Amino acid sequence: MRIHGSCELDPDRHARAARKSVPADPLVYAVRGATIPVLMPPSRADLLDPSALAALGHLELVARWVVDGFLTGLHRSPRKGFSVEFAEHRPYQPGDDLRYLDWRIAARADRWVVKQFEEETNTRAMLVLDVSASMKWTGLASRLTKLAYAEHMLGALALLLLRQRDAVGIVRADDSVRSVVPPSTRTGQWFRLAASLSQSAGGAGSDLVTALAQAAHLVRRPGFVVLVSDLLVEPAPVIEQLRTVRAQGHEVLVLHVLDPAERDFPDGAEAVFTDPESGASVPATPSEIRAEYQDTVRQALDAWRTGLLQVGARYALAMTDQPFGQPLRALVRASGRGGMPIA
Amino acid sequence: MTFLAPLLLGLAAFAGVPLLVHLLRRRVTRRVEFPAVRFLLQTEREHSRERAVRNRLLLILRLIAVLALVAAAARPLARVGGAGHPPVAVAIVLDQSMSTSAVVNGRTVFARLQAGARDVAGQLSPDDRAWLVTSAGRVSAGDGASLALEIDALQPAAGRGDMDGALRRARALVDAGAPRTPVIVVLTDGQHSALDSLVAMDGVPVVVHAPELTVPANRAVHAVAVEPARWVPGGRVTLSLSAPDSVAWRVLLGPRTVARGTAGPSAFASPATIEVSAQASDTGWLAGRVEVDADDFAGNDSRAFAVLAGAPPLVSVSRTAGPFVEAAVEALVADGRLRRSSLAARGVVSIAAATDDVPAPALRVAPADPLQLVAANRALERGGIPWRFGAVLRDTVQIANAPLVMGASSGGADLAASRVTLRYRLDRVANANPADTGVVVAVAGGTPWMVAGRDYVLVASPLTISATSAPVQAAFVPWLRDLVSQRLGDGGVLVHAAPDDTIAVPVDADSLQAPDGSTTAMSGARLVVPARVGVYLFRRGSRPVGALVVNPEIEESNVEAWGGAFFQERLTGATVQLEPDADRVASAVFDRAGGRSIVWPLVLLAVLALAAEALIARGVFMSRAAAPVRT
Repeated sequence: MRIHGSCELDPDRHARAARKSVPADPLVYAVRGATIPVLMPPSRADLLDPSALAALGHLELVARWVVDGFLTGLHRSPRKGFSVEFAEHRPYQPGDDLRYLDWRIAARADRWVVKQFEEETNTRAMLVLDVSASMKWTGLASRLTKLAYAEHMLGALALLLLRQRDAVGIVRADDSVRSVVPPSTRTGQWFRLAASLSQSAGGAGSDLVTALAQAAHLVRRPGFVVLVSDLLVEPAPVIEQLRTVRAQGHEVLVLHVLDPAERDFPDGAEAVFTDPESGASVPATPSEIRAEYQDTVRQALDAWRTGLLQVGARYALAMTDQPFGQPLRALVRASGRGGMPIA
Repeated sequence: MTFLAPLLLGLAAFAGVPLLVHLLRRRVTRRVEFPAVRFLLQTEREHSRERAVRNRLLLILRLIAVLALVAAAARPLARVGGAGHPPVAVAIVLDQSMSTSAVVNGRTVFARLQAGARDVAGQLSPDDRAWLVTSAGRVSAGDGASLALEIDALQPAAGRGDMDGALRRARALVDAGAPRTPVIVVLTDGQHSALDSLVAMDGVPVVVHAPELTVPANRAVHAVAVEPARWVPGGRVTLSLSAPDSVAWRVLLGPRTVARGTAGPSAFASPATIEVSAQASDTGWLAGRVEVDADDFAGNDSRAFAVLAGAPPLVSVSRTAGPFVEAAVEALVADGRLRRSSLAARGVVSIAAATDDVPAPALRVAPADPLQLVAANRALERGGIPWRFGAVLRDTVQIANAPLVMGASSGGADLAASRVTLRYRLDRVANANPADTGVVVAVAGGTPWMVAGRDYVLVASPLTISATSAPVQAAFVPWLRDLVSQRLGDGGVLVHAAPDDTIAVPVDADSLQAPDGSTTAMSGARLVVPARVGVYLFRRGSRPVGALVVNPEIEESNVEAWGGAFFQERLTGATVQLEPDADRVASAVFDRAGGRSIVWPLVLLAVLALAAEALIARGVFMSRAAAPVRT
């Protein structure tokens, strides 16, 4: 599914539109019934420091700001969407192509709305989030944990997908599947997804294979599976499972979340470094081992990238100090070839 | 390898610091949660061998750096090549004797020796230790510049000096420079009289620089003798001189030439002897000089002498002094050495028993009858003499250490070994002024036998054969003559000495008047003879009490016995290298050195080790730079 055209999404404007017309944004429903404090969002929240942005509000708001900012930054699509199925109306925004202005409604109700069309049928997307203990780590207290970063990222992604009426579900798993929200486009799906993302987790391992199998099972027809994890697991079983998922006709995208300290190795004196999941420990002196460590990390990332490419999955690396817009944009770029459903 | 500061090697304990750090690092207590431990484990697996090698290399480099710095602090010496010279402890022994003042080819020998010494001093490095020791007794330490200045300021001495002592001092000094290589360099004219005895060098190498020079033609005054000691008013001067050809000579007494003549050629070993008569035109101590025509060795072209001119001293002898004293004085009067006079005459010397009240100056002898002791002590008290007769001692003892009235080296008559059978103990008055108590001149049986003050001489025995054998000794008359004319009269002692000799100070002399008229106060019993030749006067207050005639040793004039080979015979237990070429003296000295300072190479080694350690610690050599992670 593709959404053509770009607009500046103002929450207030959405709220006004929701009061006057059929709400198109699932968040509008969520906001309407809830007592979420109304904050003035940053215009390009997708480019802000993630930790600073996360401190401004809870996940749902931040996700919405990120999506709004992200959409604001998108270029106008050259594909006009003629001869496609009408999908919905939305309020007119300055800059919208007047060809899609619904003159009838304008004449009858004095409301300026534009018509949107569905170029393809709705897609079912399944998000798989690794919520193991390793994801709850950050190398810097002022930085988001990998899990928090991933939750905000997935929130934004889910919101983006829901806005274009794709069915979105989520599987959260550590050493076992912790929660499952089946994919749906129903009203309140975003709320359910947000509630699932807010649940606690932190098991002693990462059973991504089971989680991926569960996700693939929930998407009955070919759809999308997005895996978000720090991938501190053995690559072979995961890649093999992804191969299976791909064989079932699903598009697969892996978002590899890393803390900068895991990439660069933290400073400090010699210490015993302990894995919070396995309990394995290694004494090391950062200044002595840093270069070799970075080399090892680079090789590991290359191995993941290569392995995923071989099974037809796409791979993107997200550092937790990057603005949310960057991995989102990477997802958009990845969708350019494989039809990732981004507006 | 040796070390100049071996105690600093104790700092090598710091080498244990890297080891300690290395071992302590094995017990890390800090724990850090880190999810990507799998990458660390993989890194360890892939690079553990490489890192173990690197760690050991770092440890070795740190140990090398610490040990090199410690070794450098201890200032090591080693046999290595390079510029400069290894450090030495060198003693420059410079012959300053009179013979070095000889002029050869328009330049003094001493100037040549100075140049050689200056060359050695000029090539000293800060790591060297050096001393300048001269035959005149000067010893100084310093760096090359300061020693060069001292060398430049030196002049030939007027006498022979003490080369034996200088070499022994040098031998002891170079030991203080250990572990530097000790070297002694002797710069001398090589005169054979320089060394009296064998000098043990105990393995210290010696470089002898004795320039090979043409022996200069030398006219020398060997000796001057004056008879009698007191001229009334004239006497005889006997001089001996040597010259390769005929030479004109002259005798001066004060500013006046009293005799002159020409002597034929004579060898140094058999000098010509000339006796001349002369008359004094003045009284008192007169300075004289015998001169020959000047030559290139001016130090021995003249020789000083002194005479005491004047009438014989007046003497008054009391019968109480005894018949032997009376007879001796009679003989001296008959010989014209003394003149009789009444007690009232001015300057008369009285000789009497202690019981008599006689004016000073006086020789007072103990009474023959012990019953007169009380009277004698009362007379002594009245005469202001701070001594009293005590118990009678009738044991038989000998006079010891009692020779001369004026001084140990005066050459006067001596009563030592005379037997004493009767004497009185001499007791010093308890509350007497120490300045007036005089000195004990002679002892017998451990008690004072003769004491002398400013204007008295007191004898503890009567001068009779029943009390002592002294009056029948052959020396008795000369002793009495010297006592009257020199000690108590207006004469005094005549002392001959060489420059820098040490002599006994004449009794009661308190100052020394130099030939130029300047006066130096004296204290103590010994006197170092001034370096300048001439006639000096001993004074007691303003009155001359003797003369000191300073002349160089005649051996210094023997220029026929020059040569450095003599030193090879006299310096034992060492390798003696003769180096007649002045330009090669310094190289001969420094070639003896056994080790060169390797401080800076060690510091450089430490720096290189630390630099390599830093580079390896940063992984410059051990691993390639990690490529950036693509995001």
